[in-house]
Amino acid sequence: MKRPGSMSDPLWYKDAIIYETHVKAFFDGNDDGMGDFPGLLQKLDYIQDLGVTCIWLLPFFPSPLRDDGYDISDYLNVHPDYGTMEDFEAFLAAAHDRGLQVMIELVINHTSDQHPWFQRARHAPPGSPERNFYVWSDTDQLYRDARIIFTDTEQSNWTWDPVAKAYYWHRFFSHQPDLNWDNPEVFEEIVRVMRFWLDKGVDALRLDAIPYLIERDGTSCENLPETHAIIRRLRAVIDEHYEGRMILAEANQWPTDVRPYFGDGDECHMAFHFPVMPRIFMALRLEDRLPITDIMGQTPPIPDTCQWALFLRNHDELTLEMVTSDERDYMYMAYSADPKMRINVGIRRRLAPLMDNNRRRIELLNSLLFSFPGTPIIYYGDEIGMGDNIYLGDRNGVRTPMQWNADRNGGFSRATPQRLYSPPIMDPVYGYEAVNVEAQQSDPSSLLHWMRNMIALRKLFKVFGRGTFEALHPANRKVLAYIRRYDGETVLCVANLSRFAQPVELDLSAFEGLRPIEMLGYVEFPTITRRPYPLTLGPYGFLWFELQPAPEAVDLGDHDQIPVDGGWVDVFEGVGREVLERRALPRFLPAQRWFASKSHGIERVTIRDWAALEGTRAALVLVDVQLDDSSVHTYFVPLAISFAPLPELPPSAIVAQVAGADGHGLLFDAVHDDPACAALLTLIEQDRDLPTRHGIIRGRAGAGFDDARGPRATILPPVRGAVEQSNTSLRFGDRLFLKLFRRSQAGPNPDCEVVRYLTEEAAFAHVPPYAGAIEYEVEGHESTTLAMLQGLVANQGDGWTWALEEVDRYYEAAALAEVPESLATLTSTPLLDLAAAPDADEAREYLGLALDSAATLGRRTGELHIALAAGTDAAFRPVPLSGGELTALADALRTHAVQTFDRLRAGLSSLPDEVVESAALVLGRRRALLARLDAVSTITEPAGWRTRIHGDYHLGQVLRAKADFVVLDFEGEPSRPLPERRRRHSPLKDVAGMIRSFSYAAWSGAFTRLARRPEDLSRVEPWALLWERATAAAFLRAYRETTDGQPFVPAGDQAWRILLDAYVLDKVLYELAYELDNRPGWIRVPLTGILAFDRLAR
Amino acid sequence: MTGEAAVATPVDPAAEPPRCDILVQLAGCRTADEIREGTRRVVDGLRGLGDDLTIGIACGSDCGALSVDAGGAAIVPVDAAPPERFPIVGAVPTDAYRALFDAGRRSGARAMALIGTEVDQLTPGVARALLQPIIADDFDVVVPVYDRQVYDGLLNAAIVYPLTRALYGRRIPGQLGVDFGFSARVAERLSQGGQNPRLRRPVWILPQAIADDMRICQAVLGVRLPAPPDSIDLATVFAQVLGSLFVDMEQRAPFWQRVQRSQAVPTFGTAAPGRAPAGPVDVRPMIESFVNAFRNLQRVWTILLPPATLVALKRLTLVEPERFRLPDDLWARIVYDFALGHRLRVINRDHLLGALVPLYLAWVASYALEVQGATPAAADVRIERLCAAFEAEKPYLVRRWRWPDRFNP
Repeated sequence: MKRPGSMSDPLWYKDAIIYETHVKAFFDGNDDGMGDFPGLLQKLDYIQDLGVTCIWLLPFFPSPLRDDGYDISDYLNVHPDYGTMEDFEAFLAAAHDRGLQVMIELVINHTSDQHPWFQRARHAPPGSPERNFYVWSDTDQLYRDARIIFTDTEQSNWTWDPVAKAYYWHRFFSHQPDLNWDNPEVFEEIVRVMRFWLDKGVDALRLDAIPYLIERDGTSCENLPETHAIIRRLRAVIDEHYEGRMILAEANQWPTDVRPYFGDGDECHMAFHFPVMPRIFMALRLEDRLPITDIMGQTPPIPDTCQWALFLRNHDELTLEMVTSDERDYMYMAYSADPKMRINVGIRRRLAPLMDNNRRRIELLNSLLFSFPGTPIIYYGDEIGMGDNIYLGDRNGVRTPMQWNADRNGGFSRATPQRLYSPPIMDPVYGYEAVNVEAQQSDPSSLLHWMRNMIALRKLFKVFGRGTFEALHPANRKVLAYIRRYDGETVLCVANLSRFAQPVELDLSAFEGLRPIEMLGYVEFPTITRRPYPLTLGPYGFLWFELQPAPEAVDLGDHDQIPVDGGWVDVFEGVGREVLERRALPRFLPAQRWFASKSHGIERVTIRDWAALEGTRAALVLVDVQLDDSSVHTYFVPLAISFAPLPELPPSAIVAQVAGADGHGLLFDAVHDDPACAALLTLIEQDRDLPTRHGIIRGRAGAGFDDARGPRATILPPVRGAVEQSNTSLRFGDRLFLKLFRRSQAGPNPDCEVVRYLTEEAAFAHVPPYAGAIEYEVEGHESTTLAMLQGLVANQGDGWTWALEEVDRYYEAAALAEVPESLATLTSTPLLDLAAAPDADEAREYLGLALDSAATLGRRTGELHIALAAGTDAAFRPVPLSGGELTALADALRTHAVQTFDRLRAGLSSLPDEVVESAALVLGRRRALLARLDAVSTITEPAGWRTRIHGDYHLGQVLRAKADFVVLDFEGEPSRPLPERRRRHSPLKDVAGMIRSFSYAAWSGAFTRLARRPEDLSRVEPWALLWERATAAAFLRAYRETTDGQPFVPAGDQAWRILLDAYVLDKVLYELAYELDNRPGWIRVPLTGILAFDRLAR
Repeated sequence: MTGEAAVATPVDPAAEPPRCDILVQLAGCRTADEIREGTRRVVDGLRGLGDDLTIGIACGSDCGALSVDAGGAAIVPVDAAPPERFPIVGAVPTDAYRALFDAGRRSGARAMALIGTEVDQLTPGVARALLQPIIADDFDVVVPVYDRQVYDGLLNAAIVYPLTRALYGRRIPGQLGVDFGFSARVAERLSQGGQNPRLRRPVWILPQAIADDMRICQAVLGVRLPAPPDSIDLATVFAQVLGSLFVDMEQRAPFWQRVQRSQAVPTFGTAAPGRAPAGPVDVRPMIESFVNAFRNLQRVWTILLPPATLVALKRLTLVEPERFRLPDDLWARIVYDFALGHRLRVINRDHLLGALVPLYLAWVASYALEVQGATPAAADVRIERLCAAFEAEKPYLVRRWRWPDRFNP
């Protein structure tokens, strides 16, 4: 009954990994000291687990075993020592069940002299068909040009047979007479043999000694045309009747002489590449790739359906037939100093001993085996680094029992040791107690594990079995480098043949733009450019690289390129998305002033949601940024594309380059795109909804939009804000002002909420009027304010700028004057008391209108707080400041203060010399200062209310509008969470903030002057104190007058004093922490403030 | 389509089936009445796809006397049990999908659909949604998009979708559905599997379709995915679903290791806005299960997970319930490590999958806390982030897959 082979892919052998073993050596199933098929079957799991795909069995046929089974006496049976035919069939079926193919020997050049054919032939009359099964001659002079192969044992290829009374021809041992392939009956018999085993389902046949089939006088009797004719006929039988089978030629010849054994794809499917094997060993010892590259250069192309078989070692000696005599001498010296290691024309040693058991060398050679063009063959035992026994005869030293464990006989057999067909290896280095499967299975660092991993890795890539081979020629000849290519896959292999680390530069310019990914660890290496690609390899190191396309096309300048032929979908959901998320945005975001998370590294960026902005080449995008502390912040990043030049676009606004049908362009921050800015205004103006992938963006105009905008016919060109801060501002003509909140947080934006309330409910005139907003909604979630639109208020700059100008004028005048006597009074009187009295004359004289402006600001601040406290809905309704809350406030202030003092102490040693003393003084007053904060909990008078406040109140948050002020930016501290920024506080917190801001203005001006003339410190300092105290007093006076009687301020002076002092101290400690982190040179300002505060308290 | 009502008599599965252009298997209909009603709805749904299209309804050989009076359809016998909701890993003698493909090939069908939605939810739109892209737009596989609520399909959301998306590079959330459309090309390709066990598993058709570069799309069905039975045991589900997923993953390693990024597939139809958000979930039992498992399964987890992951999990056991969050990248690496452990058979595979259950519950607890009060749309955004994490961590998987080595961070 004819069984099919196990493989349907006719080219399965190209992807195979073959495991060569002898049945007798693998495992003894019946404890008779000899391995057998039942034993081999028991170990199939091991073979499968190793990852190989095909098992090659050395001859297992009946034989006198004078040549280890290659002397066959019965082709159609199983040697009884190895089991029965049923045992073989069971093994074959089990192998196939595990997805393993099986290759057996077809030894057709010769038989054993015990074969019935030979016995019949020697007795048959000369010229008879039986006689002619073999090659006979009356003399031994025929075929004189044929070499002797087994030179150690044979003196001639002819042997006299006394029975036949003639010489018979044998290319190998004298007990292995050659079959006469000129006899057609021989062909028929061999075909019968071949079909016998193929019918059983055997997947492949190794044609042993195939070059020697035919003899012709006057020739070498090798590789003759008639031999190829025979092989073609054998192949034809297989092709006609047996799908998915393979024949492998054992032809130990030069590559050009092996080539004919493939025919035109009509002879053998595979053939051993004998010459490369010794050259690998040679190259390693010479530390020079030349022997390898030389023979690979001589290797001719073979038909597409054919394949080389590669091996490092096998059951035979390491043959040195296909090398020059000098090379042979070198190899003997290098690898077999002891003549006992040599046999015939080769070296009878296993891989590990040849490598002196050096693990790196063993791995390196196996890496070549697995990455060279061809199908690798692993010799049993080499996967665990088995040793050999050169004192056993013939090649038996490399055919010792497999070493399974440290038990008796290496776990190979339970027979008494004397019965073993061969003693196991027992020396201390390679002996079975040291080297065995069981030990290596439990050792994750073992060679066995390494081999399994390499085999698994090789099987992932068809390129190794099927790809082309192209050697590279770097200057360093100790490095072997080559390219393998197949079906779009390109692999670069680099191997260091030296025992020392080696540098190498590879010309990979043909692969410019590709990115090498080291295959074992999937590690990205730098992208290839036109320049030589440098690598460093450790001793005997090797690297396999997949050459993959770089993420998107070629980098131009510093920016990635994104294809945009498919529109925004390409950018955000196609190939562009990865470029944006992995490279472009992580590079773009930290460079933006408004990016709040600069102190953390970016772990990942994800496009959260987006929508194209109709009528523009812009899109509104929300981006999630995961930081290295695992927090996730969302940013609003509108983006635009332009294919036209943008000469005024700042480089920091560029996100990536784009390429589309319109050519090359830029993807950039859309605030630099006028149509996009106009479209944002239109969204609000027309109350438009813009569906996104997961939600919706809504533009909504406020009640005051029309007033703020003015006539609709008026074009309002967008103008970008000059200074970027945590938000992005756009002005539209001189009418409107759009603030983009870059960091998006779900929930009511306090700026938007408060401005809208002040405009539409409280009718507070001193804020830029609310005109609308853009919100992002995902159903079921709180909406996120992306932008707020306000009416533009004519102004002369912000309060800080105004203050600095005032301070500058002040110092100009004061520089020429004597320090006023009243300064001592001013600096020693508590601020509240100063505010209770009119402005000091000296203050009025030198500060002039600045005092009036400070007073105006105080009034406006009071009016603001009155408006905020008038709210009746839940978001604005004030709450009395209860005793419990005062206690909690005191605790919070104290906690913050303790942290700041601790930081000051920790940073003391790194402070500038001129402030160290002040810092030490502050630390010395720590307890007293903390007591000022604790005093908050002792307030017994009504302490006022907690209301919505500005939250981050200072001179930079107001605009100077002629002689008045307009208040801006009710966001609070952007780094704080939204709920915290919407929390209610005592309005005195805002008051304290502005008071400290006056102080900063005074000292900022002072430092400017001192930068030019540092020696003027003692002169400038009193004037700075005057300015800060006088303006603060004017501000506070006006504030108290405006808010007199209001329930949200403290009822009495005690509460006022304690609460204001606490908030001022808290604010100045906040400044101290900020300056410690950011501007150590400015620490003087808060330190001075703390010390003045403390002096006043005492 | 043909207007004659076909009155069926008991049919012989071995007989040559009638020719039809579209073959639909109503796997969600069990009784004759259900089949009749389902057929009527299918035929209604397919009106307009083409006047000369013939429809076949595939059902078991014991359909019995079945009269179809809603527009007409041929009865095509198939020898198949209804598909399991969660595919069985072991070979099923009668494979619903293979039977459909075989019948489709023999009928010469251009398009096939397996509809698992039960008749009470089945609308004419379901059949139309599954088949129109194949008939009109030459797609090969149509994957369902169901109306999803926040807590629907958690196993899919937590593992199956992000994992397969990262592996195979297609954003297809609906692959654990029970309603699919297929072209004749798919039937031809997948019915060639013979004894190959991989092709006998129905749900993992998509990786094969992706590997064969077939055209895949999604279609909004307007129905909800049928709820799993209340008695469902997670360990069993994991063994069935994840077990087969991990095995399939092992066999397709040469393919998915080369996939570098995911891409969306076309979607037909617009999903209706999700309904009101689901109420809060008591996550304490899930967190407790995780914390207990950290103690009791540590020996097993130590075999599968690297030290850095174990330390992160330990930290998680100490967090207050309201702050319990399992980071996406950590979860992705855990899933990858379990897939690798499954491949390497470091422990019994069923035990391995059972050991994943408490970690999955930790993810569910974390997810529930994050999406409390959220709508399905918001929950989808959350899952999108998770998928991004799986994709970002894919090099971790590839690296460890190629070189399994326990001496790693």
